[in-house]
Amino acid sequence: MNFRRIELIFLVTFIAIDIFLFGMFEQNTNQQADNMSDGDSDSQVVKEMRDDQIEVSHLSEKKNFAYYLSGTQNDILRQQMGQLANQTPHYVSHELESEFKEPVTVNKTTPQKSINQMLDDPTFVVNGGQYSYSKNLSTSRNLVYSQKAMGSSIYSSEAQISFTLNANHQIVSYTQSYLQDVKSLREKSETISETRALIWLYQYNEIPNNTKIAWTKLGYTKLLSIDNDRVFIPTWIIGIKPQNSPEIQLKKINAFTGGIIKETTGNLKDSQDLSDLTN
Amino acid sequence: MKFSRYLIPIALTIAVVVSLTLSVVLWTNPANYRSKQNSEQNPQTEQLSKPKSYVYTPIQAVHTNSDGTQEILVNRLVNAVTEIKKTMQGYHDAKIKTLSRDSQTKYLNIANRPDSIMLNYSSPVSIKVVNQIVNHRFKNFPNHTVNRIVLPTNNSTKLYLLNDKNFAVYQVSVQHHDLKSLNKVLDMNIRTIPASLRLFNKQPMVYVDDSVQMQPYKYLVDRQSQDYFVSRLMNNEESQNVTAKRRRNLLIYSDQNSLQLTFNSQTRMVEFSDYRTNKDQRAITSVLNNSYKDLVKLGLPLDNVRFFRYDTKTRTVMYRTFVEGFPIFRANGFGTISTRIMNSSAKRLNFSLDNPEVPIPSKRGYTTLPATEVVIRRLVARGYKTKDIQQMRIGYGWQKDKESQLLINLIPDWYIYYNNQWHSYTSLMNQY
Repeated sequence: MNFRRIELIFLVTFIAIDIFLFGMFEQNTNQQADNMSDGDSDSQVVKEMRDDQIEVSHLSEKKNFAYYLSGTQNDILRQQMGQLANQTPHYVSHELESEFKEPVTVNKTTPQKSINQMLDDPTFVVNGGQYSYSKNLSTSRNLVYSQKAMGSSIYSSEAQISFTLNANHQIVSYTQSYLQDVKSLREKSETISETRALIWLYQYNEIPNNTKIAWTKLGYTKLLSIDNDRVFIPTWIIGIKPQNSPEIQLKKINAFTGGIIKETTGNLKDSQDLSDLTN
Repeated sequence: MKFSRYLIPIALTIAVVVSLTLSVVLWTNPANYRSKQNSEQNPQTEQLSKPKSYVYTPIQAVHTNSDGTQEILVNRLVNAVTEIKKTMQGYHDAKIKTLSRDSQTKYLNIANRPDSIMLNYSSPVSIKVVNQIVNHRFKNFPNHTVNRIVLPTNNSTKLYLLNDKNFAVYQVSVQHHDLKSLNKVLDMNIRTIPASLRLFNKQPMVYVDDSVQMQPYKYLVDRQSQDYFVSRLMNNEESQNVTAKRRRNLLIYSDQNSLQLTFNSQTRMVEFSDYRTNKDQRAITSVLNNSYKDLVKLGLPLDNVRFFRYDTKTRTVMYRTFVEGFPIFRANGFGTISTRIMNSSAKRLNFSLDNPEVPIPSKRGYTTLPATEVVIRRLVARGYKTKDIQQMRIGYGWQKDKESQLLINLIPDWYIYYNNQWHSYTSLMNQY
């Protein structure tokens, strides 16, 4: 009888130990799952972003390749503007402003299609073939074309055409800027992925809550100017749209280093510190 | 009655077995917290540090045509070595055998094999290191020392590993090298410099056969702050209390115990000494592996930084930044980072706060550099001894820009390893 009681006590104790051990085991596996997802911390951060009411669509993890580019600002547009027909061009500080004598009618729903067909015409715009339509920068009354470079586009007011449309779907005028001799400064290198760029932007606290990532694009933006030369770096350009506003805010991330890029206009030779330029 | 008599013992046995099993599972479970700590590293540095296969990569590609003429492949829009490396990731059934040793003829036969691409390290490495760049397909190979890889462009099952020191030739059979993509690399827009592999001082060396046009570069400099390195390197659990002392140009941080960090405000060079016990390694594989760990810990951007040389005597590993496939030499022949094992209780890291970051268009015209033979002839005429010239290569010299401290000029020149130090050809010619 005594032995039976001892057995019973042992049984109860062991069941208690089992429950305890099982609890520990559970906890451990959870922790491991945590660690696993930490290893995949990118998706963790994206989840965090969604928790902060930031609307993100599917992001690409793919790494791209890009170059450092340079281009020269010169007066080539002025030299070539004589070839333009049906317009009165003016050349002011490296920019060609032109008004059409007879407005050019374009397609109602997709005006870019009509413009694409005319781009190669040297009497319409100078070097038009070197530009491509940039949907993200355009509005219904203002169509922006960016200068192409090494399989991508330059996002800069110094290398674009901006067409102004009237209410009757006609182009009334445009402004054009152009960089000559766009070339790579170094062999191509790997850039960070779209996901990484967005994560860093988020970790720099540059994405407010209650916003939507409208679009992301890998292009080239200006790093600095040295006299007439412009240096461009590959950049993840991210359009952020607040939930209750139609206006889109642009943010830029250096696609090589992951640093955030703020607007700078200064010439390198006037700067004392790199952070003035590349921060 | 009989059943209830056995119920408790059976239940007890089950309970004991379950608790034993759970205990064993819990103890043997690698539920370590370390991986958690690792992932808390600064994401930026994690991203910016390059993998081992990037740092320990060959630095030069030489193509031998079917008629036996050779040319160095120079990067223009693509990095030639990187593109070739990409074709070397899918080997199967790799087997190695020694073809010959101590035979210069056999060595040169393979090295100068028509229709091949030779990848050169600037200093010998072990096969374990080469294994990194071929996606670990050579992992079961004996750990010989090698410094060249020869990839035939018309034989998809063989490649060769060469060691200059003892003229050893190892043949690796694989299934199989994608020749189509390898040959495609040669069609990319790559600049070539006529060259030839010949013996110099009884050692193989790549000669540049003709005078060569080189483009000078201007670079924007990445200027790191001292604070960054103080917080990264002086962060030691054992001692919290870091002191700073100034002595003329030097600013010395010390944890009063085992770590010391010295900044030179004039040269912007940094020296980090670690007096904790280390494993005092000598074997090249472990030295390089350890050195790489130090590199990652340092947190300097490793963009275009490659392994340049391991000096077995001083146990110094030198890394250099490469431009267009050519190494940068600073004052005194220093590169970008060097790590050194002094003894079992002292390691040293040297690096600079300033490193090249963004290329800037340079207005300078091309510089013409003479052919290798001409350089040697002129040096000898100046009174230098041929036997003291250990190595020669084209490189870029680091020169401060007069207009802005953010810019540097990279001037092409020949670099000569003479009496255990790198000198520019211009400086050697200007001496005496």
